[in-house]
Amino acid sequence: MNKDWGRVRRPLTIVIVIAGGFLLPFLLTTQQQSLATRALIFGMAAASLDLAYGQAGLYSLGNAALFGVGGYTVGILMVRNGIESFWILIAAAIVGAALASAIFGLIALRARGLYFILVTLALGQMVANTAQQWSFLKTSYSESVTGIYLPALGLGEKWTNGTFYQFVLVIAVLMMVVIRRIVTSPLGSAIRGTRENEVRMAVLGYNVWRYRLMALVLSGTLTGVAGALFAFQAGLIAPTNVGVAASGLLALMVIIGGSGTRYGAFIGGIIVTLLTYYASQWNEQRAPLIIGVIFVVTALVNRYRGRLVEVVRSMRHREVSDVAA
Amino acid sequence: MSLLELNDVARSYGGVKAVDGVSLSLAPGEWIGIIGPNGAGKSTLFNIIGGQVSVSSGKVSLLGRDVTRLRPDQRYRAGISRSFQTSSLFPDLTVREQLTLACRQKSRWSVLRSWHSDKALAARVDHLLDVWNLGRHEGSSLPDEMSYGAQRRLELALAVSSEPKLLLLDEPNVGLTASECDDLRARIRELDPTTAVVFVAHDMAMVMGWSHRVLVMHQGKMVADDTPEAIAKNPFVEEVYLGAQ
Repeated sequence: MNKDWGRVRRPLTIVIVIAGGFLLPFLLTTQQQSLATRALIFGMAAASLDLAYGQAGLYSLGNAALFGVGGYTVGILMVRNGIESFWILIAAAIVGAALASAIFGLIALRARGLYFILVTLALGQMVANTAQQWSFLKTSYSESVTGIYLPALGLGEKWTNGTFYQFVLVIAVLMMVVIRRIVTSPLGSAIRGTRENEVRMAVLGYNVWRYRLMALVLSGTLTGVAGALFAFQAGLIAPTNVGVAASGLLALMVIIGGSGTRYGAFIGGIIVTLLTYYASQWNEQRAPLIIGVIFVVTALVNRYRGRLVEVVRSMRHREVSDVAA
Repeated sequence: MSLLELNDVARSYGGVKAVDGVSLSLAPGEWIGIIGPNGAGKSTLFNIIGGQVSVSSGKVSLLGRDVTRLRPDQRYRAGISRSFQTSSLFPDLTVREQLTLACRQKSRWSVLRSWHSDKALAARVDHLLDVWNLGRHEGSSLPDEMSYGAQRRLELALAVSSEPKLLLLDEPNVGLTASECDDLRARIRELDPTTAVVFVAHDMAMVMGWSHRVLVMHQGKMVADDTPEAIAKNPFVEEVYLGAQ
């Protein structure tokens, strides 16, 4: 009985959480539905980034730029070219983000460690500057691409905040399935191997550079999908969504949620989005301070996590010994 | 045809010649021990064969194919595998995961297949677990939860997982008892008899007992290449190396 329950507990929990998430719009105001949608989108962006952080050990600070590539691609195609089909727009966002992340990877993977982080930071800032300077990436005399609206699925849908939230939830579930599939596949295992022991991976016949590039491209592509959804939901995409600060926030989401854990980054994305929103509602000027304090506390907990794990392990051993005695 | 050929291989670091014009031919199934005092160039030569260190000049061939410019992963696929002096394992992967990673085919698309359904792969991993006496560590054991001897066995199991044509062993006996060392040799001998082995070691008894030929290195040069018996009687070797013991 216990064994059977243990086997079904996890899938059952997941089904209940998804079903609960699906029914959530009925309990929320329109504004809260928008916030929940945004939280899901940033959950996806953080989970995507964690493919690079938690799996490959590549600490990219340029993922907001790839988020922006997805957002700007759908924004420009929609506003300038009048394309409304979700399928065409999302395909374009995927191709654009994949290409951009491949270019990022080809350049950044020439550097290692701290220099890798700095190169991704510089690349991200270059994209942000391009978004700021290039008039093609601005509409209606503003600094951003505005006038983006919810796309057409071609399924006779009637968009409301609630239905779009449900649509984003479906995509979030699909994305988490894809990420889980990648992580548990031989590809995911090989990517983790390159993080853990690069030299051993090479002498086991793995082309370490190629696996790292694949991790960056997968991470960047999925981030681009989140960026596209953000543009649809927000109705605009701006250089502030692309810059270093936005990349830092994505990194914060991953770290707070727990890098390399099953759903940690996704939950981190949701938590930080909600925290940022409610902190700015409470006191807009002090919101960055609150987020900063949370970040420092999380970093310190992570710093001493090894010691905490040891304490928990020794307590477990003691329990086992007590039982044996 | 020789399995491995080194032609006038050299490697310099600035003005220092770590390996200076070494030539070597190795037949399939042959066991060669490399000895020499610290700084003689043994490890550099070893890393040149494995591809971890590139040559300044000279040529490395495997079964007649020039592999001089190949990366370590390409050399692995060509048939060269190696172990490390200090176990080079994956700290956060279980024994089974490490062996699965090692045994998996590295073809371009195989990474997209699930390995849970790959019965041949699972059987290969089970076989290695049995042969290397790692069965009881199967599943959730991580390297830091294993004894040093078990870690060394895992290190070697990873190295032989591809059934290499040439196996490079860097100080394979380090940290092992004499009986564990004998056990290790027996396990390697059970491999394909055409598998050649090149190893670096400081334990003279082991080198003399394991090798068909012994290479002696001194100041980057190969000063002797002969049978263990002849090496034991070589006065120059006695002077530069054995005499220093």
